[in-house]
Order: sequence, then C-alpha cells, then structure tokens
Amino acid sequence: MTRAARPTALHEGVATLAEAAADFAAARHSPPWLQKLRRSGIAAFERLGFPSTYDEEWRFTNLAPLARSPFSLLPDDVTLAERTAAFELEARLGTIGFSASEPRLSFVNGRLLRRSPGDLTAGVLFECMKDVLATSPERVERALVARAAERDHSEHFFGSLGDAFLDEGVVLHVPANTSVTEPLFILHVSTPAGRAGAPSMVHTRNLFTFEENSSATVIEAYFGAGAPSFTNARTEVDLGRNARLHHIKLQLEGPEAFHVGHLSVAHAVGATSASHVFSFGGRLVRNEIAMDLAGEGAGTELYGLFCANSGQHVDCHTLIDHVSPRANSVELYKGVLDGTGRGVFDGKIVVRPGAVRTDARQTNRNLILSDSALVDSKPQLEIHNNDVRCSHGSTTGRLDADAVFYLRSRGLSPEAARALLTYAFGSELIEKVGSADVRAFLEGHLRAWLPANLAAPENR
Amino acid sequence: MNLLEITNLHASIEEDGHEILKGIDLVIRPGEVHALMGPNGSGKSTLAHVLSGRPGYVVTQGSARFLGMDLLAMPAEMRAREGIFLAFQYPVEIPGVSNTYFLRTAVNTVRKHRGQPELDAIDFLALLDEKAKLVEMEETLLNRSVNEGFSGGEKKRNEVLQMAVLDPKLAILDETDSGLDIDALRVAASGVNALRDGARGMLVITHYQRLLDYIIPDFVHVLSDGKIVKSGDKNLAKELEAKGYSWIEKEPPATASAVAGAAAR
Repeated sequence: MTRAARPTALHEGVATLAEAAADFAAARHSPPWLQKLRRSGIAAFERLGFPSTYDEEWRFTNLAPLARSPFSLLPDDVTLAERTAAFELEARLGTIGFSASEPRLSFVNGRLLRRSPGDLTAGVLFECMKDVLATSPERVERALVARAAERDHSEHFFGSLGDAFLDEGVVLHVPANTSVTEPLFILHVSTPAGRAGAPSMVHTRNLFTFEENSSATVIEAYFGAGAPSFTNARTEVDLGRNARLHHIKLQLEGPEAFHVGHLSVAHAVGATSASHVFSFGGRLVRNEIAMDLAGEGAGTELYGLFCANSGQHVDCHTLIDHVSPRANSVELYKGVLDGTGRGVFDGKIVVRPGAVRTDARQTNRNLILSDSALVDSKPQLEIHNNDVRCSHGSTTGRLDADAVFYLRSRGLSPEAARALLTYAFGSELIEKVGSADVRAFLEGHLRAWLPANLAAPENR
Repeated sequence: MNLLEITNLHASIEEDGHEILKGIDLVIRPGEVHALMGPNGSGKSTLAHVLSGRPGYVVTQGSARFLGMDLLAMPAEMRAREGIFLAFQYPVEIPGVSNTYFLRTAVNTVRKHRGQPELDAIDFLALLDEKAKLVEMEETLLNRSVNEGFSGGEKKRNEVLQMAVLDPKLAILDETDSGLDIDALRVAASGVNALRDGARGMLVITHYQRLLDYIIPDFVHVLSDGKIVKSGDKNLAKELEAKGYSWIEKEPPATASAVAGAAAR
C-alpha cells in the first residue's frame, strides 16, 4: 500500500458521512443550540478527517476498512424484522436477559426498542436522550455544549461525529445521597435492518450525572445478530463529591462489527469509579476510556479483557489523568489473541505537577494463542512531580508449556488444557465484576469463545 | 502381564541431542514398589519425564511397554488415562484454576476414557473428602488455585492427593521427598503407603535413602550415567547411604541381563 492510498480512502469516507449528517440535521426540528452543536460537529469531523496511522493515538489501528465501508442511518421507525431479531437475541442472554424488575432501556440499531422502568430507585431519572431533547432539552444543554467545547480542543474525530449525529442515547441522573441498588441496564442490539441499503450505523450518546454521595452500577451492553454494523458510542459522566460509579461494558457485536466506544468520567473530590470492559472482538473495535481525576482523593479502577480471533482487531485505549493530590488508580487489562487476531493496549497515565501523593498502578498482560496473532502494548507514564508512587508493567506471552504438560499428565487433552489455562487467564477479570448475573453470563461466554469446550463450571 | 517393561531405553534432550539415558532395562510387575536411586545428573528425572511423555526428549533406541502397549507411541494424556501417574518433583502453579475443579475435570476425563460414568459434583466431593484425609489436606487448599502459594510440603501432598483420586495403575514419584521436612515427608509417605494395594505398581525416584525408611521398596535400582548399574532389595539403599554413590560409580556396570534378572526376582 502506498503512503497516499490510505488518506484517500479515509477522505472519501468523511465526505459520505458529512452528507448523511447534513441530511439528518436538516430533518430534525431542534432548538438552535442543538442545531449549532450538530453543525459544528460536522465542521469539526470534516476538518479532522478519519485519523490515520500517522496519528500517534491511532498508530496501531488502521481505520481504512471503516472509512471504506458504506453505512447508513436508519429511519426512526423500527421494523418488525428488527424487533423480532432483537427480542430473539435478548432471549438468548441467559442471566442478563430481560427481567421485569431491572431498569432497562433497550435499543435496536440505535432506536428505542423497549423502555422497562423496573424497580427504579425514587428520584433517579433514567431516560432516553431523544425524549429529553424533545421535551426538556435545557436539562442536557449545558453538559452537551460544554463537552463539545472541550472536544474542539482535543480534536476528537469520533466525538465530533457523535455531536453531528446527536439524537439518541440515555440520560441518567442520580440525586444526592442516593444509592441505586438495581444495576441500570442499557442494551444495544444491532441486527440486519430488514430493508434495502447499506448496513446501519449508530451514534449514541449517554450522559450521566451523579450528585454528591450517590452511587449506581450501569451496564452498557452491545450485542449483534451477526450483521455488519458501525456503532459510535459515547458515555460522558460527571461524578459529584464522593459519588461512586460502577460501569460495565460488554461488547459482543460479532465478527462483522465496527465499534468505537468512548467513556469519559470527570471525578469531583473523593469520587470513585470502576470500569470493567469485556470486548469479544469485531472487525474493528476501539474502546476508549478517559478518567479525569480532577478532585482530590478521587480514585478509579480500570479492568479490561479483550479477545480477538481471526480477522478481528480490538484496540483498548485508556487515559488516567491525575490532576489533584492523593488520587489512586489501578488498572489491569488482559488481551487474548487467537488466529490472526490483533490487539492493542495503549494505556497512558498522566500525573500533573499538582497531583502529589498519587498512587497509580497499571498492568497489561496479553496471551497469544497462535503464531499469527499479534498484540501491540504501549504503556505510558507521564509523571510531572516527585511525590508519587507509580508502577506499570506489560507482558505478552504464550501459555506456559509446563502448565500445559502438567494438565496433560493428569489426562486432559492438549486442547482442554489450553482452554482451561486460557479461561483461567481471562476469568481473573470476570471475578472482579460485582454482579453475579453478569459474571455468570461472562463465564459462559468466555468458555464458548475458547478453542475447546470445557467441563461444567459449577465447581470452579 | 508386566505392568511396565523397559528395554534398552536410550533418550536424549531434543534441543541439544545430549544423551541422558544410555540403555535402561527395568521390569515392574503389578503390586511391586521399585526405588530408583542415583546421584544428581544420573538420569532419574529424565526417565520419569520420558515415561510420562513430557515434550523435550527424543527416544533414540529401545522400548517401553505399559500393560503390553507401546507406551512411547502414546501422547502424555493417553498415558495418564491408561493409568500412569507422575508425581512431579516441581508441581506447577496454575493461577485461576481451583484445585477441586482441576481434579474433577481430570477424574472425569480419566473415567470417561475407562468407560465409567462421570462423577457429579456431590459424588466427586465425597471422593475428594475421603482422599484428602489420607494426606491431611485442609479444605482451604482444595478451594485455592492449583498449587498457587502452596508450601513445598503442601505441593507434594497435593501430588499424592491427585494420585489417590486418579487411582493409577503405575505411579511414578519423582523426588517426592525433595524439599520436605521430616513431618511433611511422613505425611506424604503414609499417603503413598495407603495406596499400596498389591496391584498398583510404583516407581519411587529419590536421591536419599531417607524416603525409603517410610516407603519400603521391594526392589532398589541404582542409576549412574544413564544406566542401571546395580539392583537389589531394600538393603541396597542402606548400603548406598553408608558408602555413598562413589562406591557404585567405581564398580563396573552390571549387564542388562543381570539387571533384568534382579528386577524379575
């Protein structure tokens, strides 16, 4: 491939997206600030263009396959085919399938499929972005405009793309001193659209506000019914003083999916967050996390398990910004790469001059199961003061041959031995999840992902 | 039928072609306990590895038959399923896999191979509970990851526990005494003794006579430079302890037929 070829593909993709965005914006009746936000989103992503691999942040992930693939925004009405496919998929989710007691918002190809209030704690607002924009847009105006303004400085292509198509998603508000006991579930299903035209693209925006001393668990799940799709998902969170967020992201859209996800969390004094990412591959997947530890004594834990098989690319990008004193961060990401699968871990920890007494620990461990699998690991520490305790480590290797032999010497086949050891490698991250239902689902899914079947798990 | 019949076995390290075993002859019949002694580097552990199918060795000559089957043609897991058990000198730690889950997977794999029904969780736990008592294994160790953070003694007891649960026809104990204090040694040895049942064969590999005070062998063989140079009964071990390995190394090597004769006695 010549040096010029990639930028061309990236450039053509942008023009198509800009047209679609302009059509979309023209069709929506929106308040002036929102029209402006969409317009500046279009202008920004057109100006920026798809990032190329010359961009340091995208060095290991070539977006040309995404830029070259045509995707279309589906009309607002959900077809019967979409509805049926989505319900069928949801019925197969086992322990994380639909339950009447759990607050859940389900979307199919980006549009609302079902609103299930469940036993929602009093005072908590858990709503569709589209409803809020239609009925009381002033409630989200400030947050959305402020975030878009930040993006102008950070030059974020997918963020601007999200602004251009801003329409649907979830707005969550947790009032002060409120602990939400039931996990709040946001389910996205991509299915074949059931009509002519290019596969669907979805731009979804979640906006969470936690007032002081509040806490909640949010599960964002992205599933696919096997069709090609492009999902651009952004979740922006403001945590008030001493607020606590548990965030679980499940990305299981299938091998044909393009997925770019971004979670950013602003932490006030004493606020803490835990992020768990489980990414089981796709044609091209990027999971970005940006933790802004602005408040003194804030803390964050980042856990991730990413798995990629042949023809798949999963890129995990994390940024932890230690701004204020006495903040803690712990990060553990593990990759499992099989076949010709490719993985990326790029984890940056910045410790600002004022962030004294910072405690930051980062670990990335990757397991390579085949000769053609590849992972790029780029841990980065940027420390601007001396009063810190920081560590980082990255290892990439194969299964321990001694362990494989040990299991074989007890009668396990080489395949079963490899599967058991791979499962054990990944299950460390599943065990860190608080929800037993999510753990049970992930245990089953990881086992199914493995090269050979394992015996029943009940005695692990 | 002989349990194990090793004839003129030669084996080298795959990586550099260095020959370690230089013509081993050994017969083990059902119920017999054989001790294999020898100085460091004589090839004791290599023999254990070659018999269990560990990768990294090449057999250049000779044969090993297990219950009449060509052992060397079988992959490691088939040897285990057919009834060979190796208690490791250095048991491997496997983070993330609970001891109980691992054992149940192994037991059911072996049972399936033997045409026996798989054990459900309740039956398996009953079996495990019974066998754990043999080696005085605490329940907490059963629920921890395999060997992870176990003391030296706990790891060796865990090996004997696995042996008890898997019920092999031939057990090979590779320096089970190494790194054990006298109390741990006694516990491990009494576990092994409880598994002597007149049918199970054992090959007990050790550097020191000490272990053989607890596991009394029927036969003792001395390995030196890849060959069995002397065979005898339990008194040979005592003689070795008194005179040291230099005593053996000075003697001319025994002939293959003399060794086979001693073993078959």
